[in-house]
Amino acid sequence: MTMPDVTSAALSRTNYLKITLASVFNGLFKAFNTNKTSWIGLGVFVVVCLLAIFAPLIAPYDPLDQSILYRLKAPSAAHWFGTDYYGRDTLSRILWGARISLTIGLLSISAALVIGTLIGLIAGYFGGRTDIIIMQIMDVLLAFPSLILGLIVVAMLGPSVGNLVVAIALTAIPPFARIARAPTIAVKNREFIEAGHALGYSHWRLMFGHILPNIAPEVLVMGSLWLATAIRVEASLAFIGLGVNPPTPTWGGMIREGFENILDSFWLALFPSLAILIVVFSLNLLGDGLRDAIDPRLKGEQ
Amino acid sequence: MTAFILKRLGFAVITLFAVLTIVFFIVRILPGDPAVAILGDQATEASLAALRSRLGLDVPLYQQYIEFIGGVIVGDWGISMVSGRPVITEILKVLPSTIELTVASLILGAVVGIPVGVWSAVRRNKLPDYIARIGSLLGLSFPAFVSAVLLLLFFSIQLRWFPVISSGQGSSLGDRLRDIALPAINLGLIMAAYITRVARSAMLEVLNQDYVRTAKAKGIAFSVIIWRHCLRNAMIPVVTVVGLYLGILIGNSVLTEIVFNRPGLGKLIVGALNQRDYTMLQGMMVIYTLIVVLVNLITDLTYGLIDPRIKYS
Amino acid sequence: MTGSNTKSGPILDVQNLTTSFRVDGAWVPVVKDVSFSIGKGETVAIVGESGSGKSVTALSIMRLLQENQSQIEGRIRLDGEDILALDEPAMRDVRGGDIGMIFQEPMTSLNPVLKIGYQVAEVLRRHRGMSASHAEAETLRLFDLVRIPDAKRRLNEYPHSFSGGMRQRAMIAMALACRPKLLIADEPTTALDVTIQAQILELISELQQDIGMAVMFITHDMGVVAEIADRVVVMLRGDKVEEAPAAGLFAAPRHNYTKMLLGAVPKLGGLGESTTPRRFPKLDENGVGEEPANEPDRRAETILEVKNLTTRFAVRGGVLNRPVGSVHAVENVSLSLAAGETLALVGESGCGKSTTGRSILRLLQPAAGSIVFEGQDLMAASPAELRAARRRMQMIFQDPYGSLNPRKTVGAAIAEPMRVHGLKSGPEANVRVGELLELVGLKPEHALRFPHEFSGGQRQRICIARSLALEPSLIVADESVSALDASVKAQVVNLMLDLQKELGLAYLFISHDIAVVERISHRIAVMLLGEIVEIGPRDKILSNPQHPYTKKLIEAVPIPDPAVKRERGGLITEELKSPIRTLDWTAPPRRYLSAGEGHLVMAH
Repeated sequence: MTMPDVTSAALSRTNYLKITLASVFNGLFKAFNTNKTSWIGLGVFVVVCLLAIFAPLIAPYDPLDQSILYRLKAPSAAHWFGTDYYGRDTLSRILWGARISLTIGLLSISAALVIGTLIGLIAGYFGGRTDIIIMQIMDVLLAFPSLILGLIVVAMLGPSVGNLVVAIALTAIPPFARIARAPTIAVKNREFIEAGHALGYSHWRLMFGHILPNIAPEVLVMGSLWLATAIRVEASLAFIGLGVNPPTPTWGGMIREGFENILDSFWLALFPSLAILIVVFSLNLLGDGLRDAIDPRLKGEQ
Repeated sequence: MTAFILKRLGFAVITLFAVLTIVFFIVRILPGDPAVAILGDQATEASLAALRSRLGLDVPLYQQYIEFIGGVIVGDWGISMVSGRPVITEILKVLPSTIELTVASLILGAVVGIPVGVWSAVRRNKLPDYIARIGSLLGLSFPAFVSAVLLLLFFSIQLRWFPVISSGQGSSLGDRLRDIALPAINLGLIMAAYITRVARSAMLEVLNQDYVRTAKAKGIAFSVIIWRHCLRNAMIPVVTVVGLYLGILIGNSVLTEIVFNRPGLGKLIVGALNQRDYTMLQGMMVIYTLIVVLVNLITDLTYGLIDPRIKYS
Repeated sequence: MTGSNTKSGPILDVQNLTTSFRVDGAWVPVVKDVSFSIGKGETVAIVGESGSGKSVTALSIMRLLQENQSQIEGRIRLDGEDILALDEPAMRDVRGGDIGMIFQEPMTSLNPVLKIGYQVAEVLRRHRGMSASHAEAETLRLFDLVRIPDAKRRLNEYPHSFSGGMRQRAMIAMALACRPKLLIADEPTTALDVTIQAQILELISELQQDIGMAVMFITHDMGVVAEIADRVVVMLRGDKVEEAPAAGLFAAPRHNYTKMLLGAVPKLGGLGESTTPRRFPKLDENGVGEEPANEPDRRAETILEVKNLTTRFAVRGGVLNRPVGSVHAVENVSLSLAAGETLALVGESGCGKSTTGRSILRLLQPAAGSIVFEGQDLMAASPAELRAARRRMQMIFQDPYGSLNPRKTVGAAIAEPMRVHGLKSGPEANVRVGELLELVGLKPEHALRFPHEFSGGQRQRICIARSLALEPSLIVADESVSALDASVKAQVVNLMLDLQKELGLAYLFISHDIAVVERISHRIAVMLLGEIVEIGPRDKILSNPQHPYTKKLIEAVPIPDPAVKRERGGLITEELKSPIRTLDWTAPPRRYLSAGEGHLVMAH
């Protein structure tokens, strides 16, 4: 027999919460270890984030400082990545450009994740007509080329950071709805949800207290993959000329300008290209590795 | 089967109608007066009114809507405000070039992606799998314009194997092939990266199924199991996903057409955006919607062909 | 390998088989030093509970385990030839040619995109080198052999249009296509209804006599063993613990585990004339235990009264997805239940017994009827009233793995309903969680663990504790012990009986397992196609069934005693009819006749 007092304290709600949190972190750690490449992805992405945050301290020059004397200089000790048509330092512009890319990416994907998951959760949980109607709308939006949709929205609203976030978030909501819906249906059909109905739980409690924690890993993993997509779309829009207005440095915009001088100053396009590639690839590595860890289909063989 | 086709067809028409309605309202409800946007805020009220009347913006909204839908159906998509030629003529002029490019890259993507994905799944956690996975991950990390720029730099500028500008108008077959080669490789390899990943995970799932064990217990050779028993099952998700990736393909084709300076819908839409050609933009959205709905219909029907369970439900 | 041979000796000879799996880099044996043999025309049953290594033994013989993840040691000889020494192409000739295999899950063991006829013919073309047309003719003959009706048409159908029993017949046709020397059947009837199971067992033993093959029959069901086996090998956690001829094993089991296994098997008809439930004997470590006395009769006032309950599901179809018919899952069902009483709902899959349980709790929306629970009309209850009423009526489900939220600690899961209904909160709730866990035979500290750290039986106890948190008076138990091993099943049933005695609970016990039902119920209702065909006191239903379907159902239950040979019913091919009706269908008027006190039978 255990001492009743000790038991009572140990069985408190806060203790359950602690244990649950510990298990979540433990699970996360295991997930990262399933595929070691996720650590690499995470490491690179964290470094990029730090560089972006501390860009004002790290950047060797002011990204907007023009200098006729240093136009189109090749990479050198003074300008590691060379200078552009206005004599601006490419390295500094890339560091500052990271801030734009990451801000737009993180904001738009956070918004899309929350809204899309909510839509998918509602569609999957209630099923029937609600589901058919919601998902039909989502499927049409999903099939519509997201770049074109973004293009039109930005063209209409004007290219500011806020509008870019809105445009990219709009295109990313349908995929999140789809991503959240599939596991919602799978979880909804598990008996513990029916048990919850039998125990008199409300829809609200079942959706947010029981289903959401079970689908969260999948949604968050897809979040990292879609963050990569968002950064790519932002760069693409900037490349077409619908990025944040110049002279603010954006990676896509830098490639666009570099492309005009590609025959003689190829580094102008090359370095921002590599920057995009590194960020997007690191996020893909991260998300892809974690996805392997949470994919129930792949667990059988371990 | 007939009921299935009819159902999908009905669905496609409803979708088309819904999207066209959305397009109509997007163009009209978004802030900003098109007339002001075109002529600038210095324009006189008279010239603005004239333009509005030319654009058909001076009649009630419901009338505009009826005219718009009716116009779409009979092929009257309006007159380009920049070139003065019918929108549909402009679009039809470049449409074949874009279709040629996307179909070529889709074929390339499937021809490369499906075998690599299957191979990667079969050799799971072995060297070929790692190479295929890293390769495909890299492939889908490339923004299409970055890969296009790199291909252009290397093959056209350094090696001079292909023309820098892909006119898409070459007369001989050889010219056309040389024209389309780099853009199609650019789009096709990105598509292949997507398809590889779907094919791999679909194949992995199929390989874990009970019926594969049954086939092994029948003494069927592994290669036969893969190609006859597994591939068709694995293709079901691949077809679905390829349909969904069409949007990405179209988006990437816009970027590719710009980099290679190749005529097509991509260049047309960017031109229309820069010049605020609203009728053209509206037409572009109509044509994209048509393409999307059509491809979705084809995907659904293919799905029905592959999966016998569909026909009867 | 060629089919003909004149060698004598066993068909299958397994010597010192040890199979290991790689777990975190180390080799862990799953089958340990197991030896047995099967002679021509002989049926050997491999028996064991989950985790005993019986299926791994079969997969080792077929060499179907993942190569780099598993390791097979020892010797396996098929008709004198060492098959572990064969290279892969030669082994492929053995698979499907010399050894045929049937699996447990008929629903997933056939390829959904290939025609059934093709899948059977494939074996013939592969091993007997037949041309396509020749193979098709032979497949047709095989379909007739396994009694698939309308064989010619069904050759060209896909698996999804076959029922579970029909799929298993197709699997048998496939396994026997090349007249193998050995048939391995891995739990082939576990997923099937009991009447279908009887047909399939009948079919296997008749075909065995035709072909003269050896049969290795893997099962956990002692009733099936008694029915089909000549010899029995008992396995426990990878070891062979006993091998004996079937008759000898059942008459005088030597190993304690075998005794326990046999002791835990409910024997239908063991309770005779008594009217109340009886616990399973508590077995000591030697596997013996005294048969307990019946529970005292503590039935009290009626708490649940269901009248003319009807639940239907729409079947949609056509271009516009309009309802074209409906599944009459529950049709005009009336029953009542008293405090302290167990009413068992029995029937085969699709008969509507689960739907009835869910409809009574209004987890599903009934189309018509009345449900009065503790004086409250549930059909008239608002959603809020219904949530409140559910406090007094709880449900326990079949799948102990699915009915607990994997991301909640056990304690949080048990405390949640108390907090939601405002019964207890804070320290009071914490104490109650500990008490409830002790009540179901667990420890308070188990509250701090997650569901995946528990076994199936323990999880079912946790589910019971969670329902008890709300102090219900009625518990609907939907196949709650069906997924558990026999020994664990007995323990959970005993727990339920204890709780009934202590708390005066009423149980609606939904089950397809009539042998378990006999132990736990006061009364039984038999369902067929959504209707109750017979209802009455347990002893009357089991000893004196009136409706033909009840009789058929009871006869199909395998008897765990090889001495009792069932009357061979001949090779029947019967499928349960479907309860799908057109929209304008109206239920025919039913009359119930009295066959004794409280014993009603549908007029037939």
